[in-house]
Amino acid sequence: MPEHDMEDIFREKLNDFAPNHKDRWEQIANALPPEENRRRGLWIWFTGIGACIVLGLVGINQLQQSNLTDLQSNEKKKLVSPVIETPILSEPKEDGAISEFHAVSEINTIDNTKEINQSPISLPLQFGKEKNQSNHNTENKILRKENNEGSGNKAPSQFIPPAPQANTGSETEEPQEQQAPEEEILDIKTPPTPETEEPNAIENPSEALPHDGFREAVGTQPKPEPQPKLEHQTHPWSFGIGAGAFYSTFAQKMPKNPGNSFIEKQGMVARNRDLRESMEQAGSSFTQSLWVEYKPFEHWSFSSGISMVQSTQNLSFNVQNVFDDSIRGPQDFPESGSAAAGGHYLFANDSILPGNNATATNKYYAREIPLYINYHYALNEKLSLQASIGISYRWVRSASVFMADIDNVGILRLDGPENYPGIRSTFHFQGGVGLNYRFNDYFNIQAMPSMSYSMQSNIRFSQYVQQYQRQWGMQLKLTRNLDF
Amino acid sequence: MPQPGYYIGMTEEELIEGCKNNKRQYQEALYRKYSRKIYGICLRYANSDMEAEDTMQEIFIKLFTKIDKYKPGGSFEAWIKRVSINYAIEVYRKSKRLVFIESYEGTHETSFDSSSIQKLSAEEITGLINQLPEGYRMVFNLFAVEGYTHKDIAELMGISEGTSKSQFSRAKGHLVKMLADQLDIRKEDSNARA
Repeated sequence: MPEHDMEDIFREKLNDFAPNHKDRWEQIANALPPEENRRRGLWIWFTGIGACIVLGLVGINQLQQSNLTDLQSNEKKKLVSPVIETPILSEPKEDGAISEFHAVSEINTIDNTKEINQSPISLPLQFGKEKNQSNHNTENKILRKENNEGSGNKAPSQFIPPAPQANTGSETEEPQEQQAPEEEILDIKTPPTPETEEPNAIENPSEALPHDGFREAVGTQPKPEPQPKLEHQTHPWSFGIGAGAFYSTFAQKMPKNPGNSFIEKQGMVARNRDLRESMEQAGSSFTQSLWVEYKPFEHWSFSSGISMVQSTQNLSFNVQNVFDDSIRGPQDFPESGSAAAGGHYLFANDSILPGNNATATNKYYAREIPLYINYHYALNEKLSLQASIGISYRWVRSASVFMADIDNVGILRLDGPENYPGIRSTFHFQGGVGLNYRFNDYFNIQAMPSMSYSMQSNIRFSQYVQQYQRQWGMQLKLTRNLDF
Repeated sequence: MPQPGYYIGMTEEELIEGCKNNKRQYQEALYRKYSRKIYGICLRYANSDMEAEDTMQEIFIKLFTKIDKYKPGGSFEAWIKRVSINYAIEVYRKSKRLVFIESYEGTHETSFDSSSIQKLSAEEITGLINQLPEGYRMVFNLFAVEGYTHKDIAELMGISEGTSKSQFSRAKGHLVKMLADQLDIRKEDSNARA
């Protein structure tokens, strides 16, 4: 036998020699430099976004509260201003100088003097108890002055501080002690009767003070109504639980950049995509969620939380144990087919064809963080419409997947993300319109038909096929407002 | 046991890039894809299965730490094989187990039926090669199986080209004898069964 023949035979037989051996991966992995913790980076990223959202919401809340405080302050100013400019407090007279000063001085503790002097006359706005109390206090002071002065009054052009008077002595140093006795005030002021429970209600102001224009103004203004419940009197934060059931499909698409030119040249990528599309049957998806919702505005709210998602994907196909060369491609991977004994190939030596003779169900278990912006429209006291739009990030925790091999020979089974490194996390666009029913001030239930579209393929190594999940279904949510 | 299909869907470029970034799942996928072939190479140079596994383990550690040196464009599998062979040679050179006979006696004239060799499996051929003395085995593997020239082998192993040739010639003589014995045994077995 010629030498080269023997060498060629040896080379041919030994070059592709790949015997089985004991698994040494654990030892190899332990000897390698530690892997960077990618998940830690992901959590930092999420924490950063979450912190920004929380800070933004708190900022909005603070801003709103600040505006509310300013509004209340303005209301007080408007309430106080006309009191100062009434003729009653105009001209200090010798007899009533001290009392007059007391009255103005006490008002100044509510507001500053400049604003008081420059404020135009305006009717007090409705502002609940504070307004009423303010009116009441002012009225007491006015009455006190009237008691000292009588009815002759002129409007002051400016605030006139009282001149120290010799005959008042130490009494001017302690002006509070100069107030008229309580009985004296009560003698003049009409006390509220049981019928008129409002402290500042005056049945006939013209009789009590016939020449008092301010009293007329005060007395004739409409009776203050109870302040409507402000939005902030309901706590902006709510927590809740939710569940959802969805009809789920996966859209199979061609990869943008087939990675293996040889395989693509054989038309295997397109053929495999067509096969997978024909195998794809609708599945279902179920979610269980914990929610938190922040409602800084009357109509708008933000909601987020965490969900557990279980999705199924049904496949149906035919198995043909006679290879059709127009379907079967070259064995790109040595394990394909003959390696069925290894446990991960089903129908290892058969062609996989479109059909319904065999079925398999893929299962994906994932966690999801959604972020919604919601618009609320009240239909009545109990019912409101809600439109929501948002995105979510979904990462797969576990998967049990069957797929047609690239050469359409055999079904490859992959269990768990550790055996399916091609599975990837995805962003989803989602939204819906639903109904809210408010049981009471605290509990709310929501039913929302919604949809979710994956914006990315859940197959990372997408040189062969890309698949995008689509969901349509119903979400139910029970929330509890934090206003305890 | 390596699990078939682990690396399904990954291109070689993705595998290499993931390994360069020290990502475990890519490294594991690469290991699953090539471990058996590398183990097959190691078996030809090692004295035992255990030694071959140890060598394979060291080769993979070396591969993952030196993968940056791989230049895209060439065959990755060929690069891995070359790294593996070089490492196997390095191991045996360090162990100083090799004894070369500095003489060249020319090519053995052998007559053998090639169809008889074809009947042998890769495992049987590997078993026969492993029975060769270490020096013979190394040269025979490099020349007959890996396809190196005697000049390359001489540079690689730090020996003269003549030594490489003589080692190969002796190795082949031994091997032919062993093959004949093996085939005789087979014939005897088949006759006994008949």
